[in-house]
Amino acid sequence: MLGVAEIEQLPVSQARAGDAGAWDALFRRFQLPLYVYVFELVRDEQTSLDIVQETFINAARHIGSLRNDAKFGSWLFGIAHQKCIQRWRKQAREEMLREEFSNISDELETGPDELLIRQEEEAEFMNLLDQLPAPQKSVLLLYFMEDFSLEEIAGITGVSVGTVKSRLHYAKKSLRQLVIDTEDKNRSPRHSEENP
Amino acid sequence: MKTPREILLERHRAAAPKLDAIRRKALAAQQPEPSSPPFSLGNFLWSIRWHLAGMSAVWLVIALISLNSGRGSQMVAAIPSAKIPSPEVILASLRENHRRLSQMIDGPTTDADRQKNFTPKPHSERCNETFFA
Repeated sequence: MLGVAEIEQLPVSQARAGDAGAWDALFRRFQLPLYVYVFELVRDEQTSLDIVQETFINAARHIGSLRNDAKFGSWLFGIAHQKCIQRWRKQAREEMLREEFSNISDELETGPDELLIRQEEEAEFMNLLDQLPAPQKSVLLLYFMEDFSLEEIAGITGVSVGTVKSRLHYAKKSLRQLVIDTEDKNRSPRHSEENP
Repeated sequence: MKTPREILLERHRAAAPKLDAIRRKALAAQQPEPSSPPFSLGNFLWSIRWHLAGMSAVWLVIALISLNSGRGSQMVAAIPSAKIPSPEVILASLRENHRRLSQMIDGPTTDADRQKNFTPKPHSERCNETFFA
């Protein structure tokens, strides 16, 4: 399944050539999702803005290290992720020591666009998201925000695909109470109508 | 109902103006620096003024040293030639010194023994030996 970033045609090749308009388009495309990702990890507005700015500047300087133009989004988030790690390295290390790895099936339950949350439960969703440990929150945000593949998330966060699966599994499990699977919703439409 | 992505983006949409400012700063940081002003000799000399000062001090010291050494050579040149001993006199004094040293080390020696140990040849013969060796 193609992700959000893969469907659109990003002007990366023009940006490589130094086209300022191309860079503007790329930054404009990713500035809010990137900010959301960073803010949810560091929980400070000014720090998040600084990280986003540093990420953009680093991306412009080191565009030559990007091998595949189609992976510009994951590459950009990878830069931002490294900067976030510098802010909460100690906490992330402690969380990794407490993680339990289990056998997770290769198939994910549902895609991010198929998970729907009721309006009245949005605040609860954000509250639960805030309570997630940083490594799990990071993986979940990348999955929700840009629909990155497991391999891309592993590349961004610098961990194995198995670790990504594990973190994603536990993160979604903790949100399961609020998340409505579209399949469940479609199975019992009468029930949802009778009990709003 | 909304997807998690929509919820998250909406939650932080108020930061858009600040993000626009950041985007403009990042784009401005990419612009090449304006061309430097045309070359000016005065500005160039001012920029290397400390190097010039250091080099000047070094040359001043060298000049002072050479002046002092020049005075010394002039003093030597001022010595009258009559007071400079001839090579024969210098050779004789060397022989005398050698004899005294030998007496101090080995005891008194005869003239014959002394001449055996040290009988320098005339300079002209020594030069011929060098050519035909």
